[in-house]
Amino acid sequence: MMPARAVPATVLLLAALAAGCSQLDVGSDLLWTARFETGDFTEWTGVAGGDAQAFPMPPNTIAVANGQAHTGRYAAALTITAGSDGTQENAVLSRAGGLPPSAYYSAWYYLPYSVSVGTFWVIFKFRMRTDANDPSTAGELYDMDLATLPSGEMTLELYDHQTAADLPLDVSNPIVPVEEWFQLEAFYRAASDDTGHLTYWLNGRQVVDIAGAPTSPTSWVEWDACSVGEDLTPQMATLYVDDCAVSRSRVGPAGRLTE
Amino acid sequence: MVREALLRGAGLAAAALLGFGAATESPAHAASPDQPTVQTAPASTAYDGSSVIDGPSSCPRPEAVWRELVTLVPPERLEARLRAVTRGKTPLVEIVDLGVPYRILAAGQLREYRDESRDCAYRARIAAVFVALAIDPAELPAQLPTQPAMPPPSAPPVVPALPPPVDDMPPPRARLDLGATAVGGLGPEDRVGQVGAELRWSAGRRRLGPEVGVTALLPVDNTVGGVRLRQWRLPIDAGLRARIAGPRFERYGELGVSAALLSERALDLATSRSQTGIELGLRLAVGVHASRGRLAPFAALSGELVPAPPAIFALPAGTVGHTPLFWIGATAGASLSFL
Repeated sequence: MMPARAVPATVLLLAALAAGCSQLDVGSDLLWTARFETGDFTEWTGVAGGDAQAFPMPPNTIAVANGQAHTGRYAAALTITAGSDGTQENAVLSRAGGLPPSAYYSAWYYLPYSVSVGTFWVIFKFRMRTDANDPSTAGELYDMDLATLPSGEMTLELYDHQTAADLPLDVSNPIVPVEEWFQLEAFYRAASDDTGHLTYWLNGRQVVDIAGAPTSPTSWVEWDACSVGEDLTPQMATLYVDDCAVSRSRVGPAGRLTE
Repeated sequence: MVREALLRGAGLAAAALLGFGAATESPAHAASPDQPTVQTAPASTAYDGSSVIDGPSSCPRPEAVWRELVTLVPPERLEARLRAVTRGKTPLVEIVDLGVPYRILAAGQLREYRDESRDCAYRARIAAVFVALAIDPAELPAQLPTQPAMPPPSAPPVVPALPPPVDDMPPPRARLDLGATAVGGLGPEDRVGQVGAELRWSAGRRRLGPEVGVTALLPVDNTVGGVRLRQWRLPIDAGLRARIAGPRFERYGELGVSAALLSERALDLATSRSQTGIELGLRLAVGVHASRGRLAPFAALSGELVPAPPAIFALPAGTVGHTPLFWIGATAGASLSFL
């Protein structure tokens, strides 16, 4: 017979176990993340094909700042000074190669003020290689740009380098918020046949979906979270980037990169 | 000791039976109290044992039952009753030895008794008393209190009281149920079916007794919130069983608490890991099993409510759902009783 004192102790133990195990963490679909909580860019530069650079520098800079953050304390601050002289200015966080042919790519952005875009301002980019093993065959694919509406509000444009034209969005002129974090997420399947696929979501809302067409000559993928611009007003523009992720499943605005 | 007491008590029945026979079939003897008649040996009848009692029994043997029967019932009355009951058809009685149980079929009535010691003489007496009652059911009890004039026989044949037949045996002290089980889990985000085996022990001869059970379920694959999982569950429960006994079936209900060891492993995530947790719940069950036999079939239905089922967490989605809130199950198998 169980001693009388052991009964409540057993019940308490079971209750504690049940409460402690009320959440079963079964794993993760995240392939890679960059939350900048290390205070540097090692999450980018510490992996093969990863890079974080601004060029020419000066005037362009990249830094990990603690003034703005989507989660945690730190975010990347990408600052370019893009005048109307026809020069492309660049601040780029990149993952070139080592990525699956099919994945979700997510990053959070913060615009501290509205910027008038003269020529272009790329913030989310896919690149390709015609020969996966030959870096010299790299080329451009799809740019997700910020643009300015006649109302002065910011919006998105998708530029296709293969056709040298903007692709029409399913949602006309989606508004990109200023002075608040927004999420841009893409599903990209690099394929030379009709299994190619490209979808974008802005704050969880699908804005474009291109399916059933070739997207890349090889399965090699480069993804950049960047600030690449020309002819911006004001010329100096800072874009904050945080909580970047490559995932096998959709991240979404409510997605978590850590437990 | 119990048997001796029964035998002593049954002596009066034998005396009464003999007296009844003397009073009804031989009035001259009964009318002569100064010439007491002591019947110490059976008289022969027109029937013989082999034509009346048959059956493939070696313990008791039919002829032994016959020898006992003719000591219980006066020859004339026995002959008259046999003639009335058999109506020319024989055998009237069939004895079947089933090992510990033995079965008696007499005048269309069937009884089964148990005798662990296989005392064949005792069995023969028990069978004879049952046969006597079967062929002349109304007379023996009615005559018992109405024989004041009958002098006590000097050496009355010993007639044992009938032990309770198997049907009237006390309920078992404990039961062990082993069966195949199928359970289904229902919840807002998770529905799953599992099969396995259940072992359940219950105790007590009263209407209410303790019970405890464990169920081993085979792993099963299911999907919670888009995450494919391999789920394994080992529920253990304890509670009270309430019984309603019947001649052929015993119905029962159970109420208790349960604790299930739960293991979940993601199948398709980029990084998978196994996690183990405990579910606490309330369990309710109803069931039925056959009343006869040491090994009886049973069937039961159960329900288990888990008020706070564990959450399934996976990055980047976070909490994708919970394990089932409610489990229902059906079990069937064999129930082993312990007397």
